[in-house]
Amino acid sequence: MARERLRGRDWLSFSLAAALPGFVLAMALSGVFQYLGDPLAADKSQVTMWIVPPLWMAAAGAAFGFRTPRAAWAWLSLAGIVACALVAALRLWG
Amino acid sequence: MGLNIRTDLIRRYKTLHTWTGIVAGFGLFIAFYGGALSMFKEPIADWASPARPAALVDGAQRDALFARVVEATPDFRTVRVHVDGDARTPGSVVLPAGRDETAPVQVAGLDANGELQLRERTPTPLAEWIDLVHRTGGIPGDPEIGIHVMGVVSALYALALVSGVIVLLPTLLQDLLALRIGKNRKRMWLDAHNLLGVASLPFHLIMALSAVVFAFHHEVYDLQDATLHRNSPVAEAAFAAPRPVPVRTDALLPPGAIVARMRALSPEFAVTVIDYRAGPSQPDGTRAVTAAVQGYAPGRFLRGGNFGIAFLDAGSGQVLGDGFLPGRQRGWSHAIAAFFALHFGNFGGPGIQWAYFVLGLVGAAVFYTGNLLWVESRRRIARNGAAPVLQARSARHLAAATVGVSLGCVIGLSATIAAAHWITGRVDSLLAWHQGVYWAAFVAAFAWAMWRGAAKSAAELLRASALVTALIPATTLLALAWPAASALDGTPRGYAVELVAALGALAMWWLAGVSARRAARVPADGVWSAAVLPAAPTEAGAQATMAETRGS
Repeated sequence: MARERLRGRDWLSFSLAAALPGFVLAMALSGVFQYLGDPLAADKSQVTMWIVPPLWMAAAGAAFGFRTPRAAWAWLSLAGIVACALVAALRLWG
Repeated sequence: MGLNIRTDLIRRYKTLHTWTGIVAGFGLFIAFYGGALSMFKEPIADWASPARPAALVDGAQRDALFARVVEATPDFRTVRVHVDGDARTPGSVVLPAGRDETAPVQVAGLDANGELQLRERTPTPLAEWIDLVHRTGGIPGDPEIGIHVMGVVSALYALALVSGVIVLLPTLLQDLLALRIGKNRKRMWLDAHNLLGVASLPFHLIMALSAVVFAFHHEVYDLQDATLHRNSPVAEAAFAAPRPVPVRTDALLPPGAIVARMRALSPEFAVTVIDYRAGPSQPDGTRAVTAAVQGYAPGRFLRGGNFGIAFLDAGSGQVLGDGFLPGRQRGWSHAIAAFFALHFGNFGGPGIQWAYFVLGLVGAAVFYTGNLLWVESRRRIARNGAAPVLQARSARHLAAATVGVSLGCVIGLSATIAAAHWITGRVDSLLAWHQGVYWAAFVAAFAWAMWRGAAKSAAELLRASALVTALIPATTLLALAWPAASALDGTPRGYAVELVAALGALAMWWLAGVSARRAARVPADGVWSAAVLPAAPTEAGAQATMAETRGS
């Protein structure tokens, strides 16, 4: 296997994938948490805030594991869209 | 035995680990050293507290004093009643200026004729300032700036933890329990770094993630309310204010009744502070008053730094919120209290406090060994002949800056603590003085390290750290013979602060000797050598200095 050489641009693109779609995914997943089960349970929304950084850091860590920056952007964005759709569905029919 | 992860992926995560670690490491040393000291905020505040202007009272006397204060200040916002009786306790009934814990408070007392008197007392800002250094990295200006910078540092720190674990996974079993002490210094430092890092990984994950929350919680809440919770009752549910029934303020439950009420709710809960928070006056003259009751329960997760809290209707005694009352925490509230408590280390008395203190110092050692590994790698590459000069310079500057920032923080904090002896009650703005002393010492130490280089400055600044730290107990001793030497109240309150400072000073002095001997012994071409030669990359031998420095 040829040894991989990442250029500065690749690092920037991975980092932005970690920061942007990675964050959107974390936010959306926190929403899934909130609206799965009783959304009005006492203090649940505080837990929903608390879980954003762990989810975000997990997504950010994963972002650097994709084969290319483009793949990181694509998969994280797709996951984010699915999670957003799930939140919308839970809020509508949950 | 390793997991099958592609080698170029491992290399990628290694790069991520290195750079996030290097960038975050400087801020993390300050966060961890300051955080370790912050574990003992209360004893430090007790130590530096000025005398209180009125004697403490309790029982019926306190209830009567409370009633007098409410009568005399009908438009009060908050009346604070202290049930605790530590040196830092300003008085039994107090009118705080606002949320600023360092602002002067009005302490209620009775004069010789039984007339109500309000006397001002400025609390010592020392412990708050140490805590602020911990939270802001000591960055001057609006604390929010430093807090956000440290939030970014913490996020990088979390990424460094994730990537570090991934790098280690394929060879985890071979490497983790191996500490290869010997000729290969880099191998040894890597083993030590891995062992310390993995052994304290849960602690580090807790700290990294909770610090990101502390820095950005407002932003995340606002964003969630604007997106996820848009048009949902959830948005308002998070921090719905308690709604007590308005009453005449002369009909409020006195502190003694509140304490009794709390004992019935949670027998293990020892009340420390009751805040009577009053809403605006109604047309009929009544006001809605909430009693925010702080207290402590041994062995429970506490939502506040050192307290749990419950909210009562101060007129009826009805419970408005007991989600964070130790002993009654349940469901999601209990989870939240756990998140806070695991950061603060407030759930197991002095044993856990000391454990957190040690973990804080060990954490600093992990960042330090991390920097050593980086410097050491630069050296290897340089020897292979690739662009040695530039790397030599960056390695030298990194080593010097590491010494400067860490020992600058150590000296700065010791200096700001020692300064309490001389400035308390003698200057107008105590906080500004404590801050100025810290910054002056920090900047001086940093400049010294950059000028002298890592090897010389490490030994010299450690000596300086030891001397400055020794001023804390030395001034106390001097004041026994010559009271004017210290402005601190001379009443006995134990000598724990002096004892810890004396032990710390001895440890620093010992480490200075170790550093000086290393600097004399290593080959002259390293950044760790005290010899003056043209710049070359680092030398492994004296890197021990840095790690030992960290532990101080």
